[in-house]
Amino acid sequence: MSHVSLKQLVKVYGRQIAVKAIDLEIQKGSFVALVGPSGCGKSTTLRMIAGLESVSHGEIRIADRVVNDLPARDRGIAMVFQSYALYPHMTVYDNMAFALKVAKVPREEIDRRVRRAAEILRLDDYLDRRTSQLSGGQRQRVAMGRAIIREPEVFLFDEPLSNLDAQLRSAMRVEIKRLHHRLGTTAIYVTHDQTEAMTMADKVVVMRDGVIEQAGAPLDVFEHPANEFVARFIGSPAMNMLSGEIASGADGRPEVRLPGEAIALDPARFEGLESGRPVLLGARPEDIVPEGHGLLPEDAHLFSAPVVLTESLGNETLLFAPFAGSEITSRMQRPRPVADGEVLNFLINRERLHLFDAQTGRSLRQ
Amino acid sequence: MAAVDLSKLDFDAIARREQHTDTRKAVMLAMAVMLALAWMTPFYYLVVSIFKSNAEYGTGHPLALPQSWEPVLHNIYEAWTKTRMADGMFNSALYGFIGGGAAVFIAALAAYGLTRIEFRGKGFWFMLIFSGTIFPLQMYLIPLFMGYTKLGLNNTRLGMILFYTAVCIPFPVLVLRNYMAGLPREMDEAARLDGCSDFRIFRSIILPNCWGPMTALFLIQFTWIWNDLLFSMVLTSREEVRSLMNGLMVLQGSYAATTPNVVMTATLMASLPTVILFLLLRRHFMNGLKLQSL
Repeated sequence: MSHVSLKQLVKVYGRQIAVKAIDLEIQKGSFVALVGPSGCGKSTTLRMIAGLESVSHGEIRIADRVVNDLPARDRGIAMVFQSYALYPHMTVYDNMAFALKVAKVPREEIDRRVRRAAEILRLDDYLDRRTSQLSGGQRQRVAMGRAIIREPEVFLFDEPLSNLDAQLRSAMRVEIKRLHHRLGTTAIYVTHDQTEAMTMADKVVVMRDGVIEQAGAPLDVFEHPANEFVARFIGSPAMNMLSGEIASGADGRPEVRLPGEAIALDPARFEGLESGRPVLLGARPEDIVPEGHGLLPEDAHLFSAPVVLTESLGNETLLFAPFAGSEITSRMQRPRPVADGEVLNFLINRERLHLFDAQTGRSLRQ
Repeated sequence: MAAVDLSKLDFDAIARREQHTDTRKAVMLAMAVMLALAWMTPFYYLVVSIFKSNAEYGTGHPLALPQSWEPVLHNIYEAWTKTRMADGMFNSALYGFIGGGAAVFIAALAAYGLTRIEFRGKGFWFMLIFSGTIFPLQMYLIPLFMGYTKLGLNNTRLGMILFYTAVCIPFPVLVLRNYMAGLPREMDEAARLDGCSDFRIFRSIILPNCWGPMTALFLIQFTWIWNDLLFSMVLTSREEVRSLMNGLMVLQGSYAATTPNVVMTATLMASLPTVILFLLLRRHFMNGLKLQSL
């Protein structure tokens, strides 16, 4: 396992800049997820680390060695691809053994390592099969087997679960995480699915347009999004965003004025609360609860609104209701059937509000 | 609505209803039979003729059944010796296997380069090779003859192999380029990470996945070379190096003194090897024709 460090990394295609001078430190043995919408540069970054794309500018170090010009095969990395990229003309055994055969590892050693990897991934019974005879989940495991057998310094994952169905995906999530605990190898994982990033990684790196918007522990990114983009991207369903402006309330305390509503703000928790500043007020769906469902916040803003649509998930129900000129999503714990048009009282937890500058999108939380 | 009692279904009535033949079907069948007969008559003519002696062929009706099977032995003997078929078959096999095999292999190398390696003027090089499939081959005849005469390649096996290899490259390049473009790039990248050089990727990953189309292409090119008469006639005249089809020419002409029964025996014998090769490779051939990507 190795430390990976990116310094001022740039990738250009012609005159298009795909990755814009990013810096990132990936600690030895950690599991880092690069997450972002498609076209954000996450896969390009991963492919540069892998040696499949040239580096336009900047530096990649793996274990304190600059690898910019090192061929992929000499970087001590293994990669799991979205399409699995198995060799269709080989058996499962040969797929896993191939890298070692190319490296001219003795036959007994290859056999020992293939069987051990197969045991870890529960592929023992499939070693003689062609990959075309395997299910999606099994192919995925062969792809991982092919990666772990080389005992690499760093694992790279390029959206490895996006071709699996939802149930298998969550099972494989656990499996990859368990594998990481067991092997302790540094892992870099690219995904567009924020759930995967949140559940698997020690560190989440949110990217957009070739720039790192925020990097940190999953909970930290969730609780303290640095800007509006991260706030919207992380968390499902997405955070409610209401536009308004800062004003001074009747008692002189600052408040955010929304169309037809005003919510008082705690000046100790935010900065830059000058009157007249246009802002976005953010509240996660779990922080807008219908009265009687879930914990009642101590410091709440109350409003009532008719429910226009419901989405029942079994353990909870999502309620959609108009509020302050837009439609908000609320999470109803211990749900009961709600009829469309039924008017409910909602409580917004004021202690968990987010505030963003409407122009820059930067968070105003202290 | 009352539930259907599945135990009392009239299966026979359903079957009758679903497969009843109407008159339209009968007419179609009659037409198909007539077409098949028309198609098979020349073949029948061939089969009965090879069992006839010269005299029997001359006197009887062309479509009459032969009186005995024995004349076929004489016909085979005559066809075999007059055309020096052993030499012709050896030469044609040599040109077909080496020319066709080398052409498909070289085409695979070119297709790999065209689909996997970045270099300047890629489109130009492809169009240049591709142009080999556009122009009529007869165009090469005279320059080739002149050039070969200068180089002393006329009437040599090397000259024939070189020509057949070269002329058989463009079409396989076109097919293999499209096929290889359909092979996932991530497979190459995985192999690169697994430690492969460009050539190792070609040898261990790309080539094994192209056996289907390559076999089909080899068969097509082999058959073309085997059946080629024009170039063989122009570029060779010595009996030792001429191909089988060129050898058959001795049966033609005013002084040939051969009857159609022997000619037909000879042509049938000459076409058997390609039929056998096709039967041996037909599984690969059919798979190759699907040209499916993975």
